[in-house]
Amino acid sequence: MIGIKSYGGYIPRLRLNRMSIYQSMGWFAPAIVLVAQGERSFCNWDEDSLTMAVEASRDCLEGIDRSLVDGHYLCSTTLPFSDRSCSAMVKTALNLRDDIITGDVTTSLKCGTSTLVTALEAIKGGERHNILVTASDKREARAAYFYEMWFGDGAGSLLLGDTDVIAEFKGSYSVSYDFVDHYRGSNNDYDYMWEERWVRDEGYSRIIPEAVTGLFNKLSISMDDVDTFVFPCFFKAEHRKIAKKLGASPDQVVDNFHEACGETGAAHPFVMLISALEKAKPGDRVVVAGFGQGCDALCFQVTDQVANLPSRRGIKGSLANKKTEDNYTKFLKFRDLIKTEMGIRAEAPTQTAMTVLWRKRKMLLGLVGGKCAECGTPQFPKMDICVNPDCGAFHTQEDYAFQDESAFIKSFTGDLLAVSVDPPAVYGMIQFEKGGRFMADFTDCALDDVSVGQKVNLAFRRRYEDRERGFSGYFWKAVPIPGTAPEKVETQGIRFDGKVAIVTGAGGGLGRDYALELAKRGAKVVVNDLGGAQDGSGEGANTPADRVVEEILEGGGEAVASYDSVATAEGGKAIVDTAIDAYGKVDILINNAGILRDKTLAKMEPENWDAVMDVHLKGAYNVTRPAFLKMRENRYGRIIFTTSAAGIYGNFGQTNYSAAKTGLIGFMNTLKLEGEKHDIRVNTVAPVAATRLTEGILPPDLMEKLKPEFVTPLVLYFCSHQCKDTGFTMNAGMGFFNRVAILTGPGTALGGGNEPPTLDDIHKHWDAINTLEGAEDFPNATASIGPMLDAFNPKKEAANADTGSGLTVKKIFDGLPNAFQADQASGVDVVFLFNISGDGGGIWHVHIQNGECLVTEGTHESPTTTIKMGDEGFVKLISGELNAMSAFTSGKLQIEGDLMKSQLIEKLFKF
Amino acid sequence: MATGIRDKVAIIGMGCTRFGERWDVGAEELMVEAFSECMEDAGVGKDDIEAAWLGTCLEETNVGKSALPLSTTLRLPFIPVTRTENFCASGTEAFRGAVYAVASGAYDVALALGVEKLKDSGYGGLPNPGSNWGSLSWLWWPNVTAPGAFAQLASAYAAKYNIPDQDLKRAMAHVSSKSHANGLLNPKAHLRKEISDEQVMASPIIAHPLGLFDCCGVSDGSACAIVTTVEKALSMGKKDFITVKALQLALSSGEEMGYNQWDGDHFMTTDKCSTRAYEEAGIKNPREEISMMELHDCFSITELVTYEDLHISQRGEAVQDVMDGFYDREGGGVPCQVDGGLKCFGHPIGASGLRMLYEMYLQFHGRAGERQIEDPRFGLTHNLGGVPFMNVCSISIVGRYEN
Repeated sequence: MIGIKSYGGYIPRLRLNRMSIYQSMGWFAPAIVLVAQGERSFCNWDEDSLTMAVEASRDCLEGIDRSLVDGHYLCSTTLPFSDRSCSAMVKTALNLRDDIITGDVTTSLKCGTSTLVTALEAIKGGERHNILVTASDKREARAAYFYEMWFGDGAGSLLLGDTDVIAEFKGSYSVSYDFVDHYRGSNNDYDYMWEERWVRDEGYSRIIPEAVTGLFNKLSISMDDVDTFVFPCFFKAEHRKIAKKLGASPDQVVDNFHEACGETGAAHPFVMLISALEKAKPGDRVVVAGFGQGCDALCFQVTDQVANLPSRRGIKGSLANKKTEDNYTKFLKFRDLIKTEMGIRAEAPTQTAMTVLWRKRKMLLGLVGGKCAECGTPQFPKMDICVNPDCGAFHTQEDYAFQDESAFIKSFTGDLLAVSVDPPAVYGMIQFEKGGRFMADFTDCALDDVSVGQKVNLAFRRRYEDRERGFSGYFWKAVPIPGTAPEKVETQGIRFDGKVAIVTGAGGGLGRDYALELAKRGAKVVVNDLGGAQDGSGEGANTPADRVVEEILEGGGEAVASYDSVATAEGGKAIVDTAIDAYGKVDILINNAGILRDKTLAKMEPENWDAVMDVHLKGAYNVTRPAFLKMRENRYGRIIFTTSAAGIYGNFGQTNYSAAKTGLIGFMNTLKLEGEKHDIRVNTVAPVAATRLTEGILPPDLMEKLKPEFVTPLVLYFCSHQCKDTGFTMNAGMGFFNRVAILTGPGTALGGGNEPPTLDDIHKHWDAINTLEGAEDFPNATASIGPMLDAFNPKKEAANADTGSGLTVKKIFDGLPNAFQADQASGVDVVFLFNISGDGGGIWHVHIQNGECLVTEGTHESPTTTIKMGDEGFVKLISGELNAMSAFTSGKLQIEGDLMKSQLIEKLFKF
Repeated sequence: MATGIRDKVAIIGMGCTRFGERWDVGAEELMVEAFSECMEDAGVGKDDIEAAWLGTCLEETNVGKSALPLSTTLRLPFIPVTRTENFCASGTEAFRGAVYAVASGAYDVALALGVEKLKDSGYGGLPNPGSNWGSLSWLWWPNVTAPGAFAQLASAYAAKYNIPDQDLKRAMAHVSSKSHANGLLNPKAHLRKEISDEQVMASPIIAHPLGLFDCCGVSDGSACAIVTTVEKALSMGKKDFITVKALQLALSSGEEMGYNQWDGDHFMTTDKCSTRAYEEAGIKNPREEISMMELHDCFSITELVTYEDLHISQRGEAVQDVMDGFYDREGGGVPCQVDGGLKCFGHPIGASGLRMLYEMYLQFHGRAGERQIEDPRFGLTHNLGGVPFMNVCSISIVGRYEN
């Protein structure tokens, strides 16, 4: 049985939204809107008929032993060489046998179907058993022409043979005429078209039916015996009419793919036939006709074998894998229809040594490397000495084809300096799972979608063009596979590897959690706890600290216990010595130990007062001083104090505790100055915990959150080298964090500076003295004297109110009229359309005319310039955190329409 | 049994031009400018020089092939002159040739001079060789530029050590800002401007993630050294001279490109070259013993990963060391690019290696002005030519002659 054994398809990933042609060129050629439906496929800048043919052929040979192929024909009217066999290049790229026949068939859109007939007849003759026929076209037309709309790029490939056929060849009928609906002279780039009405009426409508009817008569069948009728005709109405004239109902006719990809020339009968075969059931009769200077009609009947065909991309998969492009000028650039300045850098020499190309043909066109017969290491390129340093064998390399091996990305970049038609040039190291690697150009991807570890496919592409000599060089590139990237690290989680931390009072509660988390993140921890009862009385049992140490060790961390009391200078030193003895240094100190002796002042005996002072205030001194000395030696340190809302705001029955706790803030304020130049940062946390303060105020579900875990992250941040702030106090609890600061009001000067102010002056200006409006937070005592000295000089106008914080996209547009600089707008008449994506986004347009600025929510029909951006990026851009140029070059900011006018935005609005 | 180069050869004079866009002069004038300073500094005459080496790389846009440009420009009287070309190590190779020549006893006094005139190409960056790169390479190598090749270190390093892109980008930025702070103090530097980490991070992207300020400049310049044996230096009455402690070179074996063991995150050559150099110089703990370094900071990420290949920072800890200011001039660690580095000098390829040695020379002689490092012991210079996956690494270690 003779027929089709397998099929493969390739439609380039890029699709041009046809309306974008009309949008750019409608002013010039308004009629093209008539055919501006859907999308047309177009080659990436590194694709052409040859590369598409290789890809369609690879798809077709999926699961097929390539050594069985004994002929290959390439059918195309747009081959990159007029005199160099492109089918021989495809044959080399596919690593087919050398002793096969190859040929290029060209100069007519029916070259594909004619070759099918010829090849099937050759197989019938018995001389050859498996012939691969591939049709491919990259159809060229001048800008703003109907044909630019109609045409598409694509390829289809069919393996014909005499065994295991999925569609049996039933017969064919051909007619040949010199009917010149269009032609292209040997030295011309574009087709010359005759009147469409004549082409339709005298060409398609007469010649296709003639061939199909001839086939029906020859096979003694009628349209009733046909399940699927395939013929290209880009005139949509004519396509329907011809089918109807031949007696086919609409459901028998395969769509001409105008909306999906456009008419792919010599490849189109293949593309449509393959699409039909993808849906066909065993027993279906398929008739295909190819038009061009005559017509070929062929009939196939699908066999049971169709179910055994391994899955493949095909036409269905090709059409699904797409990226729609709205940028018409990109399309023009990719097709070399506009000249852009490429710079001196692009003037580099581009000559190809044919001798090298011949010697390395398998490597260059077939991506064939070597595999060492001695150690089994696959390697690229194949060289005489094995690359494995432990092997190094001479002359042991055997041919090894890499093109279908699975590979992934090791490293990559997006290069804006490299000369490229589609910058940035994305390339990187790819590594094959079974061994071997090479530095490859990437294609069919956007930089933002590429990551290390992502899988890639290999694709045959054009690597360079030598325009001076009319030569194109081809090699293999990597195509990153969407959705295979490993998850990206957003935050590593701050680490404390190599750091030594002391946590006092770490036997339980907050201290324990700090110690555990520090250890989990790599710190070596001294777990200090006296091990006493809640109120600090009684002998230390050593158990709480030991238990925490044990927990850390079990988790794979490092820790030692310390049982000394913070309440004495000796105890404090002993704690620090524990760290030095065990780990040689101290990087982090968390002063957390504390006790309570709550009494009203009336009942507060000296021992209650002293006990609290000794542990909290003096205790902090006792440990911090020896630790500080060690930190200074290493020029690094992070010190944390623990304060309390009781001290900051006041709490009944805790005068001792409040005084001690707030004393620590003073301690910090000065220590931060003494530690600064040694990179010793000092900060304070006020943990919100379950106390009488919160009881009854908070609902039970929030009480649940009064756990150390909700405080610890802030404390650990203070401990990290990433934290460069010093002298800060933070409330922390329930996952809520806010800063506590001592603010100084603007105040007022009384008495004119020479006379002492009077008591009555104070009374009279009480409001001015005590106001906190415009209050400031001073970094040190000296700074606070400044305003006092300046008080008799009028203050400079306050700087603009902070616009950065809490800014949203909506607020930006609400505030736009205020930011508008009318004096910059004379003669300006523009409409900016802002399309801001994301949850906080939306669409606004801003019309500037006659020195006025009108901001309207919603779209605009004909904006001068359209600005597309994500909501977060937009807010950053407006607040000055993001540079417009870098946002643009990185693709975060997209500008459509008049790019020049977009530059007015900076002048017209001051935020 | 080989004994290495340690303390066999003395550097008795050095010279270095101002680096920059020297529109008014060519390679010839640059050579004379460096040589004049060097000769005066060494206190020797032209006729005392018995052999010379010229380091220069891109002869196509520069002086042309052979060592004749040096011999004819300096009017050297029919003495042996050799050209060395080994990418960015070309200058250090010239130095190596001269040092080995006097160490062998073949000559008493030799000259090493490096020069490169890059600003005659008509555009920024290094020339694009196209198919002149090699008849086979041209047919399959990707569309690589220098920044693009080195930028990949960042993607691989971040992936290997699980570092968020932004954290690495910030550390890279600090590598550059630190060098600019030093270059500001150097009258011979090309770029003399302080820049902040934020400015570096916001600079336009050249090759992701490298921004403009992650890249070194492109400039013209020349530097040279006159070397002799320790005995000769002593007989000339030289005191406090500096000697070569180590000279090492390591070239890729092709493993990086072809064998799946390297992760693309560092330089295999530098890792091995530095180990050998420390051994030759007798250095046990480089983090403690090296007083200052001039690294090949063609790009910020190159310098960052090189800290680890030089065994100064532990693997995976360079980011932290950078952020801790360990490599800052007054950071308490190992000051790096004290003269401003390639970042501020630009990279006239053949001249860079000798320019680095020039800074060491000034530092050891207490002539580094505001940049002066207190009591330096060992100074290390490092060149890296090529691309991370195929390169030439050279390392020199110099120090005071102590005997």
